[in-house]
Amino acid sequence: MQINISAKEGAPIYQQIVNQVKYLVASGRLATGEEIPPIRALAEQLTINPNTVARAYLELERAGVVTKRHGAGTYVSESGSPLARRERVRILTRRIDALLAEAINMGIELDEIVDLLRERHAPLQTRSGK
Amino acid sequence: MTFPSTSSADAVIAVTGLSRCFGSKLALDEVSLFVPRGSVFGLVGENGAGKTTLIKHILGLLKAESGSVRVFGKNPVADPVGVLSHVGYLSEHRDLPAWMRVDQLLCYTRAFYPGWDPHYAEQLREQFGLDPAARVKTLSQGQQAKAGLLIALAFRPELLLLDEPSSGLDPVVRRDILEAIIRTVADEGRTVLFSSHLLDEVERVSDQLAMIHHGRLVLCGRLDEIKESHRRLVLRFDSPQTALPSMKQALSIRGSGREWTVLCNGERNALCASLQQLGARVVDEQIPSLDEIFVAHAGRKAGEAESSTALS
Amino acid sequence: MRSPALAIAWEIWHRNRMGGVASLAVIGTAGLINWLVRGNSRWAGLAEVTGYVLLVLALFFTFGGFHFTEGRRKGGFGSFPFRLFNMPVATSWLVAFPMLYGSVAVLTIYLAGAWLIFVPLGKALPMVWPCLYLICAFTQFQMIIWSFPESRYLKLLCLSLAAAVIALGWMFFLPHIIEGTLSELGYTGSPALFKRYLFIGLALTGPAAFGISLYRVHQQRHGVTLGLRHFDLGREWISRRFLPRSRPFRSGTQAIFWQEWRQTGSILPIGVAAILAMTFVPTYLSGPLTPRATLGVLSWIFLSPLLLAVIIGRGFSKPDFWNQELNMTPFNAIRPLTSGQWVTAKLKVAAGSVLLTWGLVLYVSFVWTTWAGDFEELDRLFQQLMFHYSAQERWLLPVLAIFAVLILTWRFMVNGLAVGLSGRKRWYQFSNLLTGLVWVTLFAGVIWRSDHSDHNLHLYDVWQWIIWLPLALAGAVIAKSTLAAWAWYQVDQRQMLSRHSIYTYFGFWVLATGLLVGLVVLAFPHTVWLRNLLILLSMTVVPLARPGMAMLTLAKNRSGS
Repeated sequence: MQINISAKEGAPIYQQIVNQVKYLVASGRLATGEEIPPIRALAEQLTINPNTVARAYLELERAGVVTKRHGAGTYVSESGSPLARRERVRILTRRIDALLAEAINMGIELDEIVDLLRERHAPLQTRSGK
Repeated sequence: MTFPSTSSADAVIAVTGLSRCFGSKLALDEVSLFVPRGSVFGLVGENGAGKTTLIKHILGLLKAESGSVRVFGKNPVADPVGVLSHVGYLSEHRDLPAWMRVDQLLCYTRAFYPGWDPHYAEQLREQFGLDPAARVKTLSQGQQAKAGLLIALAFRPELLLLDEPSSGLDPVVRRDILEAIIRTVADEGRTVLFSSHLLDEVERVSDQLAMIHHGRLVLCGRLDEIKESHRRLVLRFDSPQTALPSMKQALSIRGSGREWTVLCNGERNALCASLQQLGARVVDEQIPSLDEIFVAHAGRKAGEAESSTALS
Repeated sequence: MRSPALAIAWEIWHRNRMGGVASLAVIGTAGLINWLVRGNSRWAGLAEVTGYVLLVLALFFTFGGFHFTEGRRKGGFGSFPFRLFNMPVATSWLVAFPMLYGSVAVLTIYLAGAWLIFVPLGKALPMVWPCLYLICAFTQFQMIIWSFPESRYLKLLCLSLAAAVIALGWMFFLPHIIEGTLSELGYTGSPALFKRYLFIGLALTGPAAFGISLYRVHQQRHGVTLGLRHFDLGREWISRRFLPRSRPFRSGTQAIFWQEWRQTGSILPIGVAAILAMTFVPTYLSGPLTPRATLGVLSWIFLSPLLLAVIIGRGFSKPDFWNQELNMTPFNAIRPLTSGQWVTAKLKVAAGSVLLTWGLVLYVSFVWTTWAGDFEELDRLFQQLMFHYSAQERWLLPVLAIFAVLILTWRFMVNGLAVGLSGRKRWYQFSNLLTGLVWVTLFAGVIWRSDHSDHNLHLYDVWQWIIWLPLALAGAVIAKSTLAAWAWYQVDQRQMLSRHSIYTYFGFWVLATGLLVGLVVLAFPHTVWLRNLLILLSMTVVPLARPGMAMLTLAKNRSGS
């Protein structure tokens, strides 16, 4: 599991881990049922405090992104759960907000954006459609 | 600004009202802190702020002139054996005997600590890449730091004290040292106290933080609480301002014209109220990095710092 | 080239301004006193001896203060200051200025002493050869210190040899000695011509030392090492193959004994070995010696470990012999050992060192005497001394005497521990000064006595001193016991040492003192007053309070007070 955290950013480190894991799950890089590294291993890999990792995992478990099996490690939960879907929508919404803010600043209308979206989506559709 | 940490009963190190003068210079001024068991405690401060002096008091290398220092409940000056047999120390100035070979160094240090684990020591030695037959004076600075860390870790001490462990070292060695700290604290019940200038390291690895400025403790408590309590506010004024008046809750004020940045310490709402009175709008609000918090606290003059701690 | 000269001059003067002014003030005061007492013949003799002592001490101090070195580590014994190599100054000037200033300082002190102290007494000290000799001594001293940046043992060895030669070589230049030696060697030419050549040779040593220093400092500046690469490689190979440290130490105390022994244990034996080599090899090569000469050489040899132990003991009393700083390094201070255990390790290392040294001295002297010396005079002397004693005593007395000498050497080594381990530089320097004063006075007294051997020392001259001696010694014994009781009580209270160890040391003290007293009683069965005096003296010899005090001061030093 490749995660980068930066202490220089304002966001707390556990939050960065949570966000990145959620992103990995949502984008499919972490498959359902895949095991994520134990707390100690991730802490050593990222050279951060194990307590921080523990807090992040707790948060992820509460959000339903991962489930902890007793003594057997932590695994990514089912993607069909409504929480996961909600999470994905939330991530996208944030991206859309950023996109719209830029568009307004540049003076590009909403219709233009929608056209642009359709244009960019078409080749991806054919590619993933195969 | 102190956030009450765990009770003193659980503390591995308990420093109460410690003061120390060197001639006319006041090195430590009524410092009190408690280091809970199993935590990684980061000590930050400028050069000459008093970090090394504090660490020396904990080791019993300096006697407390006023106030008290207790490590594992014992006085390190009166009972050096009881305290030091469970403490591993890496000093800022590498003072390993230059004539010793690495294997002699390991053999020598092993004699003092019954809990020495030879397999772990060998594993660390291989990992650090230290040639057992090399004399300490032929080792580079990074390797000497690793050798010092090796003999501090190999007997699995209950308390690991590191004074500026990364000073003067390249990123590879720094990473090794951080990994060693993580592994130490991952074992149950072992505590680490380290002082550093490299705030991103402190931020990654500590869960408790203390900041010393001119010998006084200006911040102490859990790292996440400290970070949560600080805010970086970006203000927008309707008319350009030449200077803003200094406000109690504002640690640092920077900017020019219409946009100003204020670092707030605690009382966010009170600060926003007084800012609104000045006619400012809060445009952006972020949690600052530890670097910014440190610079803001360190940048204050001693008088300002006193008045701010008196209020909080 | 004016600025570097002034800069270096300022630096040297600034470091030594207090001492320099103090030396001149002391000499000036002594001169004033001498001028006042110049008529009084009784005081004049004392004033003369005091004058010599002060002059020698001032010269020692000047040598110590004006040598221009700096260590790379803080407080380490150094070589030429490395930081000056970055300056845009040619090496020849960098080497020349400190040597020049040092020589000038030494000459100034000598001339000031000769003029201020001795002229009022009506004694004119010779001018030419002492000045030449002092310049030679200083330049050689400076050259040796600068020439061995890598190997501190080699540097120490050469320095000790040079110091021994300098301290005693001046006697050769006394007028009657030169003639006497020349006639003994069968030289038939004119003594005056020989003297002139000798002085020219002496004067040439200055420039020679400058040349060698320039060469060595130039090499250091440009990173050229002494070329002992093969030696170092060989040493490393040996230590890798044959000395891997695989056996663990049994305890922390054994580990610190090993560390202390590796760092300082071999200094006394090596120094004495050097003196043995320096004395025995030439005499062996020059052929069999007269009995008197044999006796002379042997007494010098047996005296040298004692003298060397006094000097080395000054350095040994510091926490780290090789470092001028008096604080314990954190590496040592954080070990879970009590101060009592540290001091015990030091005492044991000193004892081992002393045993090794004397074993070496006795063995080598015996071998040398059988090959090159003459047993005749020794045997005659022995018979004469032992005439009054019974057969058993003839065996017992030499054994006890050897033991007494061992104890004395050990005492000299560990004498200064209580002050050196305290970490206070001023106390340490003061104690060095005091020791230097005592020994130089002794030396001066011996020389003066041999000079004025016609001046018969009547008993009534010294009676007033002898009356007070027993009382003074008894007082010293009482003071020592009281201080010891207090110190060891503190050590016990603070649990710096186990009861068992404390009692062991007490037992050792009683045994050692008992053997010394036994020696005295056996040696002087008839002269009661001398015997009692010596018994009292032997009770002050073995250190009792000092080890305890050393533990207490080390504990204070460790916690930075």
